[in-house]
Amino acid sequence: MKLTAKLPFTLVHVILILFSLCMLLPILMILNIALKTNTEFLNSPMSIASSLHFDNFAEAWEQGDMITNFKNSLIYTACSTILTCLIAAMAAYPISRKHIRGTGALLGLIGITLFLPDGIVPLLFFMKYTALLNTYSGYILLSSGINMALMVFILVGFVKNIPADLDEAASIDGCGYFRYILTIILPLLKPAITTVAMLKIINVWNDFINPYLYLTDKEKRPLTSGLYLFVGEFSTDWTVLAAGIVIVVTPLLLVYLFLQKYIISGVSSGALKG
Amino acid sequence: MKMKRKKLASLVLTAMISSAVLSACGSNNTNNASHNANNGAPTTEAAATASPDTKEPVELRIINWRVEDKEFFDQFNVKFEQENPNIKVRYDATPTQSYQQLKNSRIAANEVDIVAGDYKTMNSADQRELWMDLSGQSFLDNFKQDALQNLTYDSKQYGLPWNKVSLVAYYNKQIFSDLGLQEPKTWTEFTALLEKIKTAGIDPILVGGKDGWPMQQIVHTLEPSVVRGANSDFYGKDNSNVMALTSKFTDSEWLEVFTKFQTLSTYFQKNSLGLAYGQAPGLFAQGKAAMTIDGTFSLTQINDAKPNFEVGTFIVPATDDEAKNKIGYAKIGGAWFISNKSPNKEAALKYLEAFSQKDNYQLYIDTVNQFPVMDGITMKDPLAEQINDQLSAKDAVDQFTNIQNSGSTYSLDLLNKVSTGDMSPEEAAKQWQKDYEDSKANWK
Amino acid sequence: MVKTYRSWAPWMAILPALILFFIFKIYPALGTLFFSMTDFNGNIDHFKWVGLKNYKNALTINFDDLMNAIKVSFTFAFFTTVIQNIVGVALAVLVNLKIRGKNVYRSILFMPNVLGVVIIGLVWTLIFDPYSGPMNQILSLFGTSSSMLGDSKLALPIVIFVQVWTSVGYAMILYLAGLQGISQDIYEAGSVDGAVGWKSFRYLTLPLLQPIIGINILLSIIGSLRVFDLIMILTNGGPDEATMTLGMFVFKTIFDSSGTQGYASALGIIHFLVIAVVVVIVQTYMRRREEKLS
Repeated sequence: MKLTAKLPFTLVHVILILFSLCMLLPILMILNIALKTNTEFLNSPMSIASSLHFDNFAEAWEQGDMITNFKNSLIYTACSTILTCLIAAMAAYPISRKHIRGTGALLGLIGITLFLPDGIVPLLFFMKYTALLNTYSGYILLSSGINMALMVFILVGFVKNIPADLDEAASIDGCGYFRYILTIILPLLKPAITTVAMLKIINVWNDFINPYLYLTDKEKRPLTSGLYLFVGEFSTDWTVLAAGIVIVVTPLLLVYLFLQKYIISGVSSGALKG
Repeated sequence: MKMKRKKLASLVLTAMISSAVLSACGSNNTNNASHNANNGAPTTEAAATASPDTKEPVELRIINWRVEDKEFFDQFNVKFEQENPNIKVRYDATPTQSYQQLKNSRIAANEVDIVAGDYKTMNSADQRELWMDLSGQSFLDNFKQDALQNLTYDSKQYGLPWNKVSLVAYYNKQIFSDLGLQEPKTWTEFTALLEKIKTAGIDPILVGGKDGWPMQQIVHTLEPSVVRGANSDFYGKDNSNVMALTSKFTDSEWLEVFTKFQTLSTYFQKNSLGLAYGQAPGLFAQGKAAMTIDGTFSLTQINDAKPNFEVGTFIVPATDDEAKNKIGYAKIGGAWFISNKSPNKEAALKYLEAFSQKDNYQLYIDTVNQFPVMDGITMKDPLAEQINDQLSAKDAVDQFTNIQNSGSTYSLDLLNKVSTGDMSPEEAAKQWQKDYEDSKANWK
Repeated sequence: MVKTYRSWAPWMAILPALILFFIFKIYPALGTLFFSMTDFNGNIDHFKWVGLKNYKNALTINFDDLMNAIKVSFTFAFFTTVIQNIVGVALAVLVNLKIRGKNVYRSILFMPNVLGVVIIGLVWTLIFDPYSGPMNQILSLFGTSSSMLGDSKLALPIVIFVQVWTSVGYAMILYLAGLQGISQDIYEAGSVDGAVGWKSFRYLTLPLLQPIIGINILLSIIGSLRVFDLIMILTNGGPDEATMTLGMFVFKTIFDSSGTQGYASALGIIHFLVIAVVVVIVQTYMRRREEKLS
């Protein structure tokens, strides 16, 4: 690109490295704290851990019921991500192609929901009297539904990028509407769906309030809720808390590292066209 | 196309209406259930039905904000389930910040049987309506009368008290002996002592001011002796004097509290407003300050941080008058309430009964290291035992905000501003009185 | 397109999404609207219709608090949006250069978006801890110190910083996509006319980025006006209500024993209306600007 061609590349690197450090250091700091004993932390909080001390992880793992929570987190995240992607992709296609009337109004409504007020009590009533409260399926539906609008919104932008010629080719084929979406559109949307999936994964994995409200059973709680419980219990013991943070964050960071190529290309190309 | 749209609209509408109808039916059902529970098991009899005559499986839903007490409830709930095989305990604790939200929603949806609360949980008529009257239950007899009294209104017993909490100054005996200091007996001695510590280059008082309420604790430490020591009927019954404006926060008693708070705030550690409360006990235990004024509930945290010096305690002498200083602060740390609409009242009462048994209660006190509100319970921790003695030498009065009106919990900002010197004690008192009178529309 | 599908097929395709959307988004919001006109306080058997009383109270008794919250919210949203977008564009331009490791930079800069609010809140609480946090240790090198999140002048700037830290990567990625959508030919044509360096950025890149800037600004504004969970963990609205945004104010009302849940619902609706007004104003302004440019 011409415009910054004159900027010395070393300067660019220096700036980018500084910003990257700003993003990375806080996380490394937490890891450092997690490796310390409480006494060590209280006396010299910022020094590099003198020895690798893994007791905090063991304690966090045990106290936070992390095994059950971990399993639940996986279930909720996987199911609601798959569900969201499927349902959102199905809805995005007709909206984007204006196959139904009132798509404009629908998109407007979707826009408004970005900042609609929550209604915990009404939703709780709904969950309760449909026997969805405190069930795996109920929570999966809830976490899929709660920002379904945003996901559809993003995918609508992506579908616009898929040339409509394909539709015609398919219609000649006599391809059924659903089969067409599932077999032709869905594969073409792969990068977009990866993006939506990652947003959804981040979203569900990190949710800490909804599990408390809609899952009354401790055995059904996900990981972040376990961590949130920790905040109170170990507010005086930052080392264990830090270990808990590391445990919760690591799987997500791994998924991110694995998928980052798609996410970064996907987040951009999708949200734009929407 | 148009028809399709109508069809869809009606579909959605049907879905919504049916859910509304369902919810209406549902609430009727639960109402009936609760009525049955009310009529079928008059409260006095319910205790007698302790023998498990119904073998129907029951899920007992309990919520609490004391995440710190996990260790006890993990043990106790298992034990309770073993003794009552038909009851499954679904115990839930969330940190204080989100507890209110949890509580409101669970009560509204009638998804809870036992609720942890405090005096605020029963401070208005519509709130009291939510709770079952526990009067006459035999397990109440185990508790101290004054503790029960705190959770009584119009001779109905709404809550079952857990423990008593108070405020003390924890001090570092090492630093005190190095500087040749004694536990103070009067306010003058106390301020002189603070000055000495400060001159020696040590932070006199460690406060976790970021969370706000630790600042309030300092006021609660001063208020009983200063205000109620001077005028025991300052607030009047149900705050009547304050509401009638015959007692004002600009009166000399409260002005003295604010002035003394300001004096103490000059001895807080630097940047005390930024320190998270949770860190204060640990830092004190590491010898970072000579004292910390904190709740008796922080004892465990201080012990857990393994101080390498001996910890002493005294109750802050708020005046120079021994008689006034005798009035001390104590409040109920928390209480159980049973939801009036609970379909599982019998099981809930059983749970409270088990909690009230001496051996279980002893285990509770031992694990959470709080002060018992039951006779014949001992504390393992020698320091706790010592605080208990110090407290029992006092005439304990409840937190002055016990009878809640909006505005009677003075705004934390005022305290912050006094401590940073942005506001004088006089201005703070005036502002508080003004805020209080402005909120008149909300008085209950 | 030749119609080969049945006319109900598109409706069936969006139906699942629509149902979830109505149940989990529209219906709860309508429920809140309903409760906002009652004196509902947790006791579902005993509440009555009070009409607009809650709104009236909010605009009279709590007027000062409400105005303070709106002021704080706007300050927060304004600075967050401006800083986030300026830094976002700058970073996007840099990582769009043909430099080594640009993908690594992109990934790292986007990373905070992966972390949850609880974690971000805790990490920064610790960093800004005046006793053991690194920030004050740095400050002490310059012979000064501060109570950071406990300082009523610093708290809001710090909260803004953390919000920007969290979301600047997202803005960067959106801008990056915008930049990649600009054809190289335009720059080449521009360079003939002497538009190079800053000039080409100012007169070619920025106008072409206009639509993305619009989306980004709107997303930042909505996001920052809604925020409350991050603030709840960082400062809980304090000190001296310096970080009491509208979202936080609504949340806090639930705690206040004087306000009912009906009242809190009314505040929630007011919060929604405030955002809606801002969004409409900003969008109208941007649409006009775009029209002018094109």
